[in-house]
Amino acid sequence: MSLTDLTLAQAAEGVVRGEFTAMELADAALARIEAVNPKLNAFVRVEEETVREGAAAVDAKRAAGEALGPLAGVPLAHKDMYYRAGGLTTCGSKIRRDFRPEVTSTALTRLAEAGATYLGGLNMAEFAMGPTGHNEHFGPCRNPWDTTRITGGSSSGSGSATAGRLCYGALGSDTGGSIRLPAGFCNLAGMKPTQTRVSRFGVMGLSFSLDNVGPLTRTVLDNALMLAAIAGQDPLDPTSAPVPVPDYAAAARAPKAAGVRVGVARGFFEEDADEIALAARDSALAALVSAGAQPVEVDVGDMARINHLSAPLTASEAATLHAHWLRERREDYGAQMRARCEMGLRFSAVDYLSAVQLRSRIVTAFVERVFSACDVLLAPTFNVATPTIEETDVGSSQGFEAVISRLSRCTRPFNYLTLPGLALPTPEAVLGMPGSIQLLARPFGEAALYSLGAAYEAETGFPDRAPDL
Amino acid sequence: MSETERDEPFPGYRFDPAASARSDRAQAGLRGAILDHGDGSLFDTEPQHIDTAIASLAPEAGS
Repeated sequence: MSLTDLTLAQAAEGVVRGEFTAMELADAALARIEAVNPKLNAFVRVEEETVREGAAAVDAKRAAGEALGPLAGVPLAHKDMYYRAGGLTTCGSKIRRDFRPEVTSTALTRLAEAGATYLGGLNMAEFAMGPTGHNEHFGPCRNPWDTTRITGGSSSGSGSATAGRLCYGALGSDTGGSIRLPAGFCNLAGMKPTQTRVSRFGVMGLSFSLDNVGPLTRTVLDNALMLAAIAGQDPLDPTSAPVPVPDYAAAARAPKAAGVRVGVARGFFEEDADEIALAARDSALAALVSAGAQPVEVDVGDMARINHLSAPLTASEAATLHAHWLRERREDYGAQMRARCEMGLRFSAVDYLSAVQLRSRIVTAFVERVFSACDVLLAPTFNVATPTIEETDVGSSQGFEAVISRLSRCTRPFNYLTLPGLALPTPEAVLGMPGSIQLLARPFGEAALYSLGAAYEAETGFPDRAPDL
Repeated sequence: MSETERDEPFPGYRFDPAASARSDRAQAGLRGAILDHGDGSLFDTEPQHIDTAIASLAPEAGS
């Protein structure tokens, strides 16, 4: 077995035990990137010197007998929108192709404190806006399971690189599904935490009401280890929540499905769905029941209206953040990004504020209704078969919104609702490609998702599947 | 709002012509949703209560 086939948890444990060094992990990852990245286009930048410096520091700490962190020596890479002081951060754009921020994001600082090393920046949709994995400036990112098919986006490189064994895990960001979709299309675990659970300081913004930072990994425990490292209040981000952080790794190490009431989200999530995708969802539900969970039917209400309410938040806030460049550098945007920002310029302030003002009462009503009937909600992450890169290369052409809406219809409502969502692969494939469900909990219920997710993982063995590259 | 204003969010900037139809569809959907949910009692002085709302909905820490 190659070092790159280890899970994140196994890699960190191996470094702590002295079975191999952090430098050996870095070398293995760099060799894998050199061999496979030309097929995937997952990395936009490899920082060989940086990862070797980090590995040397971890190995020196171990040699000195110092305690190592839970991510000791593990090479990670991240969606290219996490600032590192003095380092390039392109945000997947032409406009920021040469941008060198003056600050380092809290998420990257905390991962480094936990011992992780940094391999480089990953491909993404331009400015994190787009659910397919296309990028006009850096080229499309490719799915390791079939390189003619999309990875999902906007954290496209995070999904592709982690599934392709180019890194052990990656941060993405999720404003309408951008962690859960690439996790789903690439056979990974992907966590969109509760809104405000993770600091967004030093992270490129898209929509300050809906943006979330979270990890994509090959196993549930790996995911919990990464979230544990980055979660919690941050004095540099006044929007981060002062809610205590449970022990996520302990939750993932204590699988529990017995007696857990799993509510099945139907209605909206089954409309316009490919039957094969729903069959994959059903195979996941069967696995949860086999593990001891109790299925229950729940009324999720009118989710289409939730998506209508989230539209002005995304579009107006993105347009606000990009207004200066729209004015000064319009031609430097990709067509789809520009078109979606323009929509944001047209919502009225009254419409926008109505959607903001309604949010807390809608969230409260949803949580009280749904999570009185179940402990965890199950919905498909997407309800279509994985499309090809070619058939979704729509730019801003007629009907591009339909492509976007179809891919992200099942994930977007939960950003408006603030809820944590853990995407996990289905036991059954969808036309030979990974399928995915999302497990959702009440706000700050990530630990419950990790416990149930670990039981599901033990039942299905989804991390044992690997793409043939 | 005049058409001139709609077409020029900034001096010299022209909207993509297709943006109008997209925008109209999104606005119609949004306004329908607001009508369905709004009950005329949204007289809060602070519109963004989401932080306190979700904190009150959290499970007990450590669960």
